[in-house]
Amino acid sequence: MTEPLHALDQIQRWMQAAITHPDGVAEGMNSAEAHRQIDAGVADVEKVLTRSKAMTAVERLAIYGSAYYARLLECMREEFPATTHALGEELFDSFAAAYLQQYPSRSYTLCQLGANFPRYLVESRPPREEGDLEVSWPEFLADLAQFEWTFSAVFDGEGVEGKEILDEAKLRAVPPERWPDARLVPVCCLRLLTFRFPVQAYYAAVRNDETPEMPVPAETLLALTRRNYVVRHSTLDGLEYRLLSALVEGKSVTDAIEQVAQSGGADFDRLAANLHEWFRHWAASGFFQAVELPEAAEPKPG
Amino acid sequence: MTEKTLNRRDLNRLALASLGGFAAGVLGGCCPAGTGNDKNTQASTDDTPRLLQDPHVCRGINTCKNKGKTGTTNDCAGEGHCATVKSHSCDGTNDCKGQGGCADHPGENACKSQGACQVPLKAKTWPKARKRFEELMTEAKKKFGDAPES
Repeated sequence: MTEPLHALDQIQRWMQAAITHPDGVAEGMNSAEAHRQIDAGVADVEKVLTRSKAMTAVERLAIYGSAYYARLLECMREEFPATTHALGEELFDSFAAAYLQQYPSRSYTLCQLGANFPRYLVESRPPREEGDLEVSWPEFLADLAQFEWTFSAVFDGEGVEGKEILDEAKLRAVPPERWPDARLVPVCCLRLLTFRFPVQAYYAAVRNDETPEMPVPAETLLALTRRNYVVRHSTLDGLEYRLLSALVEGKSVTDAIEQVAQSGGADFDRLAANLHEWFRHWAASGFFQAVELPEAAEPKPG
Repeated sequence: MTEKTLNRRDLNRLALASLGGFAAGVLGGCCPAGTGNDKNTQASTDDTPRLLQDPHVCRGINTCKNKGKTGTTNDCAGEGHCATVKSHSCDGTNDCKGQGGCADHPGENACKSQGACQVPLKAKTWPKARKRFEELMTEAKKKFGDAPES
């Protein structure tokens, strides 16, 4: 029996370098990574891989290269169903394929595959021409992809299932007179998002097998979180979003209220009228995990 | 709209209101998904975790071990039977072999519905997206600005 010319792991790494190369298997075979494993490029690839009756060695390997990217494209479509709907499958695939060239898959898990897709859509946006609207379809696509990615990230990421969350007993332990100084600790899966289009409605319509039209631009403020493994989103109004953001940033209840009330354009009466309902909604939706109190000041010596 | 400078009394009143709301939310809990009673809250379209649904997307390659097609075993290393999402003909590279043109004629072979099988794609995508946008907007009888010159 003849000894193999190359060790199995060497061949595997060489194949990986060829198959996953964003510019195709030929470029992959000629890449430094492939040559580090086996010193054979396209010209002498048949030292490593035999040809068949019908196909050259490169053609045979290209089947694997195409299959690799076909799978990645399927994953991208699965990850971004609403963006796929907006663009149509073929066009979405074109964007996704170009994206994979710019941001090749580097992680062991496909969960990270689409992480940079929203950024790619922003980066590759064609330059604005005179007469273009400030917010138009490229912004819609970028917003929609960002929403879908965040939705997936919240779904796949760390949550509070199985962990202690805020309950009646914990809240009762907070003396009412100390509430103004309390800090509300957000759950790890809470995300506050701003969009230029109501992308959440478009996304929901696609998931319900409807065929929504591109919506008209409208500032959209969302809170996204996960509870019992279900991702939920709430739309927020501007004042509510600012107040919630201040709390999430770590401001105490009073400081957050004061900051928002004193900020330009804040309507004090509306703030006062809605405060109870906003805090009720945030608590009921599980936005916060705990209430923290600052350490009590040492009593002054008498 | 009323803008005013807050004094300590105003702040305490507002803080109290927030505590009342917060306590009501904690004690009342969250409405079950689908009741529609909770302001603005929308459940995902399906309460079943996606990872527990079919088709699966082979997320986290290791978790797919032996979870491919019924009656098969695999470790995902070659992705032999571990289809990412719905099964397609390219699943299992053997199916592709000899079925012609996977590399040179994407979408015209056993990789059916894999229109963009060919990678890399060099085509400029944004102009096509613009075309798609114009079609959709025209269909929806909506106005849109002129296309930028290429």
